[in-house]
Amino acid sequence: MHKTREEPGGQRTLSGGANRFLQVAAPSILPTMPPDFREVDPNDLRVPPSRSTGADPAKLQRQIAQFGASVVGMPPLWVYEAADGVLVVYDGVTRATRITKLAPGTLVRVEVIGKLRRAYSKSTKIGDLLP
Amino acid sequence: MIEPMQQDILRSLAALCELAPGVRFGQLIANLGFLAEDMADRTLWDIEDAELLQVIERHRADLSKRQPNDA
Repeated sequence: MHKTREEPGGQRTLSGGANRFLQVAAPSILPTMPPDFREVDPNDLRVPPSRSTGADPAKLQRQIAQFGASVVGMPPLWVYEAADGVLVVYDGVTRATRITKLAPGTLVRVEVIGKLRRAYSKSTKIGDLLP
Repeated sequence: MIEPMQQDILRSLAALCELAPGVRFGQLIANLGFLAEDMADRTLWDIEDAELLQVIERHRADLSKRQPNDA
């Protein structure tokens, strides 16, 4: 855990050394991990709270018109893995919704880009938000 | 005059954008709000600058660990 100090007024700040480490050294010395790709049913992916209403309808219609039910050439979705193992979409809510709607049961490729501290199994699934 | 900590935040945001070129800036901010609540139990409204910097740097570290051009 990084050291913090209490500033007048109650604001907590990082100590100088920890701050510099985070900004300059850490990103460059962190080992490059092998990518964590998985094939999953997009129906079960959770939406982040900021997209709790699901995909933007206009954007979804544009993607449906352009790509239909195809997953060919579709970039992997970016997801975070929650403490309880469920995957929360970071980027790709529209793609996940399109495949769930037009090709239910089709697996899509996701890349797990990090871990979450909390459990999210009670959060809304992509499949719960189909238009 | 921008406070030094906020200058650090802006620099870190710029570095984050370079690691996620396909992510819209608003989407990036929304996701940072999500990660802030997960990591620090605070909304973007409430989070202290130092904590926000930690969230951004943690996210930056996550994306830095990816192999380039994976997606």
